Amino acid sequence: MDKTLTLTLSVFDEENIRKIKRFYAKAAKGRSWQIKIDPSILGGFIITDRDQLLDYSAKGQLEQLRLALLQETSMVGAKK
Amino acid sequence: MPISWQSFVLHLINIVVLYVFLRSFLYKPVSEFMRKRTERFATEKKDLQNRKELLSQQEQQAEQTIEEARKKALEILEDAEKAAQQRTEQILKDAEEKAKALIAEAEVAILEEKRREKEQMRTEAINLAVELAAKILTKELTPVYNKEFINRMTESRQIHG
Repeated sequence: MDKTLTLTLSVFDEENIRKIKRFYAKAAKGRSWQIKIDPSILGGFIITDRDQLLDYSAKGQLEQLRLALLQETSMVGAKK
Repeated sequence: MPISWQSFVLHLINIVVLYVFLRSFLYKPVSEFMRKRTERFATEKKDLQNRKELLSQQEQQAEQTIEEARKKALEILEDAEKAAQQRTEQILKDAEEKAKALIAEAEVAILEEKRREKEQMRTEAINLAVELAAKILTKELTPVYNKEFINRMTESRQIHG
């Protein structure tokens, strides 16, 4: 079983990393972290826990917004 | 000149013999011939009359047949005209219904196409807006804002690990 957690950030910032680790401390107890920097996520962070992906990135939020808008659009279209 | 009774008797006998002879050999055959001729004429006349009547009957029958044929032809013509009229009406009705169905189908297709176009435009607008927002974020998301964003994310969500 892979015990390593991956934290992806847009820029390296110690304070932010500490804050995120605290935020995920309960689930991350006794496990090690791997930090990755990916500017394409724009901001925020992504935690990869085994096959689970917790996307709190600005890119992910925008994607969610885009999907929500598209869904709403298709629902409006279907109603019409 | 005196007439002797012997001469008279001889003349009388002559006349009687002549009468008998003429009656036997001339009058009877001629009478028979005349009777037969009269009978033949009567028969021919009757035959002619019969033929005339037959001809008249045949003429009447022919006229009747022609009249019936004419009536029948008229009936056939009228029936054919009626059938043609009905067929024409049916064809027109079918064509009208088909045209209506095609128009309705086209209207539905147009509406569907419009709806698809609108949806496509909306999708493109949304994609464009999100792309634009991403570009703006790339420029505007400073470390301070990023920190604030991370704070908000960690504060607003709870993790059930």
